[in-house]
Amino acid sequence: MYTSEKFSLFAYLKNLKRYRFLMEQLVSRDFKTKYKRSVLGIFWSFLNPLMMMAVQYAVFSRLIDRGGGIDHYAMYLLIGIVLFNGFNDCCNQSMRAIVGNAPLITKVYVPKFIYPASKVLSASVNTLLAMIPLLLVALINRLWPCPAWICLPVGLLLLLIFTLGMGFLLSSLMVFFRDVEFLWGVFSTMWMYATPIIYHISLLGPVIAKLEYFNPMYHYITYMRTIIIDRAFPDMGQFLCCLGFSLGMFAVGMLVFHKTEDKFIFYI
Amino acid sequence: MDMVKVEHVSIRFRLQTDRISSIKETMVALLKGKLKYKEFWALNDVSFSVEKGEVLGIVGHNGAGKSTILKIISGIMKPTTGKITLGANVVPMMELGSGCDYEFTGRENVFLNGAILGYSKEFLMEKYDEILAFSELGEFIQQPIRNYSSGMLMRLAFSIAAVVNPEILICDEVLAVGDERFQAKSRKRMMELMGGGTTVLFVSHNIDQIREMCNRVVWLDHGTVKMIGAADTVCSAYREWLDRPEE
Repeated sequence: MYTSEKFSLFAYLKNLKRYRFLMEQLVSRDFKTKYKRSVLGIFWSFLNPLMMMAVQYAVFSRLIDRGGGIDHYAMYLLIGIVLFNGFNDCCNQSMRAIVGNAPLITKVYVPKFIYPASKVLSASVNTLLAMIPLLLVALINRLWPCPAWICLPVGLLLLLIFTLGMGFLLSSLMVFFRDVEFLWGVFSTMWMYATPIIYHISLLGPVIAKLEYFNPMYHYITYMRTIIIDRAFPDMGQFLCCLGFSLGMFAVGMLVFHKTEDKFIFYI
Repeated sequence: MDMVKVEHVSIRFRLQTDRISSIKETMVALLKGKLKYKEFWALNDVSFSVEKGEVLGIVGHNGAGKSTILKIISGIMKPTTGKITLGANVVPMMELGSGCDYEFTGRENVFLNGAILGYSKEFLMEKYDEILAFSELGEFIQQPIRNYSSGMLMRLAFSIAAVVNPEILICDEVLAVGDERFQAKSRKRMMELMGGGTTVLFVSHNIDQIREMCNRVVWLDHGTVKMIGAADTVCSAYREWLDRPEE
């Protein structure tokens, strides 16, 4: 029975179950169309981060003097690139999820959160695939598997939750202000350079380094670097920090999306 | 039992005098105090109900609010005021083809479209042969649908939508699909559904079709219910109104 339901996570979860098949279909559609008619197809998911890393390694290992004395600089770089690009890709895809599906949204009722969520999920499959060459590079660097690796899925999951929140937020803002697309382009570039991906946090000096505590991406990337490069379990503080950002962003994104979703139809 | 109950439903559209959709424009408009809307009530205090198994037709001039009321009933839009109560899930027989991906084969689109309409995987697997047979696409089903003719697309979409036995079906001018033979076939399928206890809401400009298929008819005029009653009575009145001499 349909009545205008009040916001409840339960209702969302119930919908999620009912529309699971649709989610699967949408995710697999995005994934299939992405590499349709390309020769290398799915291998781009492996090749792309590796090539990016090679270019940046070639440039920056000279520019900042062998990576400013960072151990395993190639690995350091690769983890940052894979995570940040994965995140950015998800944001770019999900941002257009509502606007791009306008013909469907105006014709058939489907819980709207499914559109950005499926975009984030299909883009995350790429990040997941990029983990394969990443771990291979780790092995080549003699960073052997260790018990801490069991925390890898946790890190990825936390980042996924954070990204979902971001996707909800951006996709609903995009409906009302198409400028978001262009602003985000600039903002994400700024964000990338503000995150210690190619340089070490000590390069920033003590004052600015403090600001990194408020940069969620810094925490996710550090979390993964601790596991792979230091071959150690991330400590509890690190974990709680990531968890906090994930849940916080998810809640904000959900809330904004939920508050505005009934108005989408008038603006798309 | 009422399957669909529409109580005092109104919906307001805000027509911006200029379409503002960038942050800068909004800021400028706010500063100038110019963020004004023209209000427009597309539906105004509309009430009616549909009983189980009934076929209700909706007629009215262009822009009377026919499609809007269907969108509200299927949950695409929320009414500004008023309430909709439904006794079962609604299957929209939508403007055909909007859920298709042109890079996909016909077969893949059956599943994608079916999922959008809310069918389960098992159901689609089971009904796949039936859908294929009804669409008469044969081996073309394995081709990407960007190679289809528009008639083939329509046949595929109609076949997917028509395979279910929904409890509430919503049709917005969908029977004009394909060639004459396929039209007859799709109309037959519609009649089957209507005979099988499905509650149907039906919008069409073809008054003869409405008269033939519907039990009751609602006549909307500028967002309000002008008349509601037996198909024959309302259709005759509507026809008379349509044929009125120009003022």
